[in-house]
Amino acid sequence: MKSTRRPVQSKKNAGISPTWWIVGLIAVIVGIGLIAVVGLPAAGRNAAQSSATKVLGNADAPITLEEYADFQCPACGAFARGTIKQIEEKYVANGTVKIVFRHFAFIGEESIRAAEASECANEQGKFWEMYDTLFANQGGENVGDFADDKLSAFAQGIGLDMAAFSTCFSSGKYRASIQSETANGQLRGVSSTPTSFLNDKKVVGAISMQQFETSIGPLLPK
Amino acid sequence: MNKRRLAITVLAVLGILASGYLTYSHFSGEPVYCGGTNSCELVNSSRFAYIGPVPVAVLGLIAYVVILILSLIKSDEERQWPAILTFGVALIGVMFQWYLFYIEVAKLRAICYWCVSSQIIITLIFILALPRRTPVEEETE
Repeated sequence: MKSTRRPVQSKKNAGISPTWWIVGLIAVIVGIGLIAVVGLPAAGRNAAQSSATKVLGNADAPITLEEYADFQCPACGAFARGTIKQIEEKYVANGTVKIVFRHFAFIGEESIRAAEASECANEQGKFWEMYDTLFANQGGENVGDFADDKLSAFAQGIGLDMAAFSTCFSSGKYRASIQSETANGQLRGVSSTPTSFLNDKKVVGAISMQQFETSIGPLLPK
Repeated sequence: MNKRRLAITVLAVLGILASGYLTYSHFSGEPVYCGGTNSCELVNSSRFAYIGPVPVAVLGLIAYVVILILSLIKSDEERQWPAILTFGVALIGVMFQWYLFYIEVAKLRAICYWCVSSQIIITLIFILALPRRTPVEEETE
């Protein structure tokens, strides 16, 4: 009796078993499902994540100036203390312009902490007081000028209820919404600060009052 | 343990480290270390980083843990399900991860190194987990 040894494919391994195809198909469907869920318009989710709006002025103002800024950015400070102040006095006061602040906290941890402090001030209706204080007290970037104790002192300075502020400030509850506001700014094409949107038209940089007035000219009600 | 399975085990551990770090960063509020840029933070906190309230980093972590466990179970002709399931999980992972890479490049214009590491790891696992014919020698008369 002669025994031969030859390679054959056993029946089990003759091909790729149908189970592989079924699992593959299910995997493709689940994968597409995940992509669809993440890619869906996330309007509801955005609203849930974003903090209370920070608006200065008449809600029905015909012109909206959305300002993306980082509290540590020197140009934002110059913009806030200069042009924004003049806009406030001239156009916000008479109800023509409303200013909406958006966080673009990208310089570092102290930017985020300052933004969190401003959100906690916003809880007590004093966002713009904190905004002014922060931009008035800018120093170097991430060198302790917006360390936690300094930020708490600013909060005290503008007369916040310190117990409520401390609870809010140590909770970190606005961190995600600040980061998501920053990310959404990037989605809208913001890459430097300050960047403003005048009725959705992008304006980059700390523009002068004259540039601002030229830009809003066509938007003013006749 | 054959070499292929061992490689998947090692890659799954690396994947757990990358996605675990992103998950940790998400829940602790610590900013993601990103070599001096804020791209990782941007990607990881963008609206694409969540499915409802669940961060995608957590999904990645779960997927790698499942792959790790499956890779520790021996597969052979008699018992194919660990290999088949690894293939299924890796296929979902690879599709989803490359979609997220597209989002990073096309929508956010920010690259998150941790996420890209994870994208490479899952791609390697997927290649290793692909089904293949295994001709065997049998004794016949």
